[in-house]
Amino acid sequence: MTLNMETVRAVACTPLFGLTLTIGSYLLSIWVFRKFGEFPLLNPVLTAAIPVVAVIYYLPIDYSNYANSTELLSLLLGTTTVSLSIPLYRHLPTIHSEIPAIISALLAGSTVAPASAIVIAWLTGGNNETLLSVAPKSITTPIAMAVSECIGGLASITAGTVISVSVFGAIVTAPLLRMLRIDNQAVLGFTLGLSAHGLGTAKAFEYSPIAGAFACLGLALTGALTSIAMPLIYHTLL
Amino acid sequence: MIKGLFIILLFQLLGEAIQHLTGMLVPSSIIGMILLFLALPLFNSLSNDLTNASHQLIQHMSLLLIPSVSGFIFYLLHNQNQTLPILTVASLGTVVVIVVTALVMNQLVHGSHPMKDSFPKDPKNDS
Repeated sequence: MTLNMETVRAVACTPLFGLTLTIGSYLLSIWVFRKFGEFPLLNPVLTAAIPVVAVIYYLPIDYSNYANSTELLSLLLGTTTVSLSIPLYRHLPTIHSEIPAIISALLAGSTVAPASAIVIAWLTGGNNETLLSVAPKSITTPIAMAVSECIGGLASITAGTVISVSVFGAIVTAPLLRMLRIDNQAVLGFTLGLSAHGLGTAKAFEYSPIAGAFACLGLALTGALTSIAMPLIYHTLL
Repeated sequence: MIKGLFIILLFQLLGEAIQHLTGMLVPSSIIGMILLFLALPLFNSLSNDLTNASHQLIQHMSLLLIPSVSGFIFYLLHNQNQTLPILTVASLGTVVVIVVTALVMNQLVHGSHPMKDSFPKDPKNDS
């Protein structure tokens, strides 16, 4: 049998190919991350897609073929969102003394996040689709993608934005708080979880268990509040 | 772990069904998440299984995100005029959120948990 374009295409469009490529790409990015001393900008969350993009680019398939063949992974992303309730439930007892501080910070942070995102995107020339896609930038990726679809954004722009936010926030939060002379691990943790979700939470656990617990809480509460409020506000206004 | 995964999937399905039946605007996975949160006290005997399953899913979230992130990269390649707004939001917008959240919370927090109590630890990777 000769290896022609059609044969390559037929194989490259199967779920088996999509899944194997994706897992291989993931493992490669973890290997590179470890090899270079876990340098933050090489975090797999950011780099794992690069080999996939390169392969799709050189094969006679386009992105939509790949997206169709990896639908199972997107489905499991929803499963991950549902499972976020489990760590939240476990961390509930750590917080009851700080409820007023948590609620105020939650309301302030999750109002400022979409408002500033929309204003900044508009000022820098973002189109409507971009404005709607970056609005949920302060929620953990799978939830943000679901919200984005609910309000008419593009889930993949949201995913990329949220991941950039997560990497950036995890790096700058502690230095910023030091500049503001804030020396409190509950504040540090909650801010990391609210602004930088998954990676922020992982970072918070590097500082201390208290910071970690508050980060989990920041991540989960922001996700829950924004995902309920944002679609409702959007559909009431328009 | 497989029993835990089954329960999580069951609640995801429940969220999906409720969203379809009621036409609710909240994403179906959020409905599932809230229902599972409320139902967790019922599954005490399975708490290890559930913790295990959620841990595995959360730990490998970067893998599950690859299709979307590659979609993002292709989008930026085809819409280069949107790169500036998206990256400015990700950097400047995040600084604004961090400063506001930290200042508000710092006004009202009771417990003092100074940073000197933190300990250096091996960094855990992806979340």
